[in-house]
Amino acid sequence: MKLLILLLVIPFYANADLATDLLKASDRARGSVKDGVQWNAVIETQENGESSTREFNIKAKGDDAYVESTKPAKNKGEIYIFNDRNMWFFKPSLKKPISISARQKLTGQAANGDIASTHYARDYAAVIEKTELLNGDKMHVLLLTAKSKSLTYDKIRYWISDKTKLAMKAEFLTLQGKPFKVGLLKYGNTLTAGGETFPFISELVIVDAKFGNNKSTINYKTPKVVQLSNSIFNVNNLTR
Amino acid sequence: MIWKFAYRNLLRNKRRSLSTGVAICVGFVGLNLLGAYIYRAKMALDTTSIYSAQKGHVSIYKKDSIEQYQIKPKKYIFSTEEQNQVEKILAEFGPQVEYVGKQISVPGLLSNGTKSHPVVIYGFDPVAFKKSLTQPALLEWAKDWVLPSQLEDADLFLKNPETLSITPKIAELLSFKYPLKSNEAVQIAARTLDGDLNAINAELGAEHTTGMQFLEDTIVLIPIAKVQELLATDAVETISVYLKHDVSLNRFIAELRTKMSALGFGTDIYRFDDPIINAIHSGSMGFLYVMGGFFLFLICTAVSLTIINSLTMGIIERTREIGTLRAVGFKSLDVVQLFVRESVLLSVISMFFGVLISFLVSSAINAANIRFFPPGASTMIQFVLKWNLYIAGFVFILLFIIATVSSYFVIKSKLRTKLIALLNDTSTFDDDSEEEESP
Amino acid sequence: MILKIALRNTIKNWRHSISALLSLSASFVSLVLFDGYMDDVKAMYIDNFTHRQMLGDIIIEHKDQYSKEGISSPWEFWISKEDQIYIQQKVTAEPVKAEILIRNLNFQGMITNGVQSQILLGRGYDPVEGEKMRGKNWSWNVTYGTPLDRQESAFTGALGQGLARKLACTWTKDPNVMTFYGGYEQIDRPFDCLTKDLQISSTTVDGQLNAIDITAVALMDAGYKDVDDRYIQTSLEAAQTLMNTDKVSFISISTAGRSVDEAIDYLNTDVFKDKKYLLAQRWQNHRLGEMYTKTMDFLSIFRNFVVVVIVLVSTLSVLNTMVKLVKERTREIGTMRSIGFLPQQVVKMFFLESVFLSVMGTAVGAVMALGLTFIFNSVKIMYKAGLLSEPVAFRIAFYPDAYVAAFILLVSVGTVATYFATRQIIKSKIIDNLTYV
Repeated sequence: MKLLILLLVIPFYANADLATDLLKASDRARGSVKDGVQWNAVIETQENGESSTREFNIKAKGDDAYVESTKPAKNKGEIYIFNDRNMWFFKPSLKKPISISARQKLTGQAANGDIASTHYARDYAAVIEKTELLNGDKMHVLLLTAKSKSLTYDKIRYWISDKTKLAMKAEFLTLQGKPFKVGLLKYGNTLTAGGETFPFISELVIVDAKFGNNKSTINYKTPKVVQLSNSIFNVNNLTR
Repeated sequence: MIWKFAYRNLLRNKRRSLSTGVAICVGFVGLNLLGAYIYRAKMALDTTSIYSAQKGHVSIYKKDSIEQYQIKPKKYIFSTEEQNQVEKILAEFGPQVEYVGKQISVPGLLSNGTKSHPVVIYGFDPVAFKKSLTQPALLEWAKDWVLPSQLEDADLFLKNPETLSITPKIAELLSFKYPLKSNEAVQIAARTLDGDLNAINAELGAEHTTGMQFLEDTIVLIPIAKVQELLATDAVETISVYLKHDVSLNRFIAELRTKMSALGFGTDIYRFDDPIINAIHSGSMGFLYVMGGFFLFLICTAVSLTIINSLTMGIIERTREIGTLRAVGFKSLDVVQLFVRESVLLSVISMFFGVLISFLVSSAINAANIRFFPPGASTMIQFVLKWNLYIAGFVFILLFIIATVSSYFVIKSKLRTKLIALLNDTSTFDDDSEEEESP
Repeated sequence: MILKIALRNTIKNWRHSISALLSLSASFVSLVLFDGYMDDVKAMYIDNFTHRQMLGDIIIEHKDQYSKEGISSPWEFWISKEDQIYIQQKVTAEPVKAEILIRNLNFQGMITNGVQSQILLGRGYDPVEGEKMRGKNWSWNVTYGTPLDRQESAFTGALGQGLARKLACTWTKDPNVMTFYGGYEQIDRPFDCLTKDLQISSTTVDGQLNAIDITAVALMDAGYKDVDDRYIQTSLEAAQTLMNTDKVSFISISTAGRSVDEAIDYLNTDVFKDKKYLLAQRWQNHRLGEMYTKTMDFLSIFRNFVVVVIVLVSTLSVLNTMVKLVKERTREIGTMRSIGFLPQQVVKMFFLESVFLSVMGTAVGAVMALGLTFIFNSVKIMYKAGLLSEPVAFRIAFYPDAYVAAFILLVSVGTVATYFATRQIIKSKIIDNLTYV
């Protein structure tokens, strides 16, 4: 019996290591870069027959992110700050920032947590479920389970390319394991950091699993590595 | 002449007249006090609904807004243009309308920087609110629902449109210090009508009470412009109409409906006590009416049985007397009249005392300032009995009818006996009131 | 012998006393029916709090939960994991031997269906134990959908119908959801929502906003309208995840067949000796039971009022009759006294007569009251009461105690009336009585 358990556990261990490596590599292409990085994001949403567009400027460094809304005019100047897993919302007319949750809706299908960089390797425990072909490429299909309760999603099924180590598809699952949103990713950008040039995300389409017409497309534009002072991520500095 | 007879007959059996009279009087006082309690409850609910909850006498909503506003808020609000159209119609009613207020509400999070609490934010019209707060009717009927601080500065929201009014309970929940002005500004976060996250600043400094235990931790008030800022809109959810006191409400509503139907958009018009917008009012009054009706029935039954009892005894005792009256030429109808007038006289006299007693009792109870906790209320309120001439009159007429009708039937049924039988009747003793005075 | 005379007199004079009898019966009926109504309301509340709301017999919580500090930072006054285990060990052992123990966590926050947000008042509890505590009648505690204890996932919720309406849920109203005698039939009635996938957000213990996703699986009636408009029940697990804690706000236990007061006393003096901050009490004494005590007080005011008025009126009616009886038989009294009856004996005879009158009044009244009770209960009237969100059944409970109490009251009424009516007899001389015409 013991042997049986051992036999079952060993491949999982090996799998878990591979899974973490895959996640780390895929996170880098989604903004999880040690040095500072910044990009613009345009989110186009189609929902219940109406469409809207919002634009953000994102500055990320390590676990922190500073997101500023640039368009439309009525939302200009709104700021979202990510400190580790905590999030705040702020706008110039406010005297104090207010706490928000990564799970809450930002716009359309996009949750607050979707806009900034992802740290799946840090936040989720991963196991490789299987490998399969997606658009002719070999994919590792990972099942990610949240290590903490305050994350954007409880469970994610994540397709990472064996060749490029880039995540190509994500199913965001409810706790019962039922997909409620599906994300498709593209990597048309490149970024050079730490002397290495690597592909960087250019598009994330998030579709409602039930109502396929409700979807949000996040376009990632002009990513670049920049020097960022830690102070911009300090929520107390918002209220000058 | 029959009146005189009747009066003398009452005096002949003082003790019985007294106890019957007292019974009528007690029943009268009981019904009167009950009526006074229910009347007060109704007036308090009416005035708080109209003025404190700012429903106005009449609330105008977009058609189906009650069910749909929460689901598709953008479709079920009045745009600036639509507000103008509604106001134009209201202007046609001229002096009937005293003033008009506009409201919009949204659920959101009230945050003091370290902690947040879910609330419903009611945006109100500060000009209308000032007028509502200073209504004499509100102070007369519902002063327990107006906090003293609210009366200190009715201009508060006009002077500082960022002022947020909270309940004492919310102050406790978010540990705000008194005076409220000394606290730092608070933030309110909510979703705009487009579904985007938004937040506004607000300043503490005002307090109110909902009067309801289960709402006291929920409702905050702020001038409507701030809520519109939060929702990123110019629109309003409801328009409330405050009428002059002598305006007939139902007729006004009927006329308003006709005029509103000419508009290019559908509206729903509700009276302030309509169960759809004011379930508390109809629920509370419904319960009181059922109770009141039950007691009315019981007390009336008891009183009429007492009257029947005493009349039956009187008639049995005076069978021979009746015979004599008939023999000397009194018609049967005259005899009936005599007895009916006796009981009419008795009930009028007893109820006259009843009026006095109920007035004195209610005044004494009001002066004693007894405070009690009605179920569901947020604070102790004074137990007030509003003695009212209409109620007294109603109870008076009711008991009067009961007394007259029951005595009429008793006598009618007893007088079917033939004259000769009446004269020969020896089954009972003649009553003799002189016996009362014996040592 | 006096008894016999009194009995004969009552029978002989029944025509004269019929309306006094009726007025006594009417008083009896009104007293008994109103008490029966109150008893039913009381029983309904007790059933509601103990079973339907799963408060059981005893509530254990931090004693300062509702102090000023407790209200502003409730999590500081929640019961720690360690204390939960301690309480569990102690109450399931002798002498309390609790049958069922439910851990509860209250929370407040916002709930959204992606389109609209609403404020919310929530309670997380152990679903399986909750079902046991609810007992047979309330095992099925939802109006539409299926109860929480029948769900696979812990992340499910039962919404108050008022809240559900605000979250764009629709259902075909079934007027027969509630059985007339309390409780629901175990039928999965369908309901629909814009989406049943909802998100709850709340400020956690560390001041951060946290959110969980839950599925609406049922609708329920939270009792009071203003609560129903924002009420949700979830599993304890979901509530603890939302609040990011392993603490609970209170524990409710049921101690079948054991003295609740003794158990409370034992818990507070022995078990919580070194944990003085914990307090065990009945829900009746707890803030959650406030509505019960206030409602009963309120009804008592009405009851006492009606008792005073009705009793006064019927006393006067009986007084009239007794005066008449005494007067009619003045000569008879003289005869009795001249053959050696003492005034006290004569008075006793009248007292007995008034007792017979009360007995007959009670008998007639009891028959009428039972008839009316039966009629009212079979008509199945539902009425809207005050703050309650759903109509309640108008029922009248039958308790023999109330009948006995009303009987005693009527006998005293008769006695008082007789006292006033017969004062004269004792004072007067025999000769006056005999020559009375």
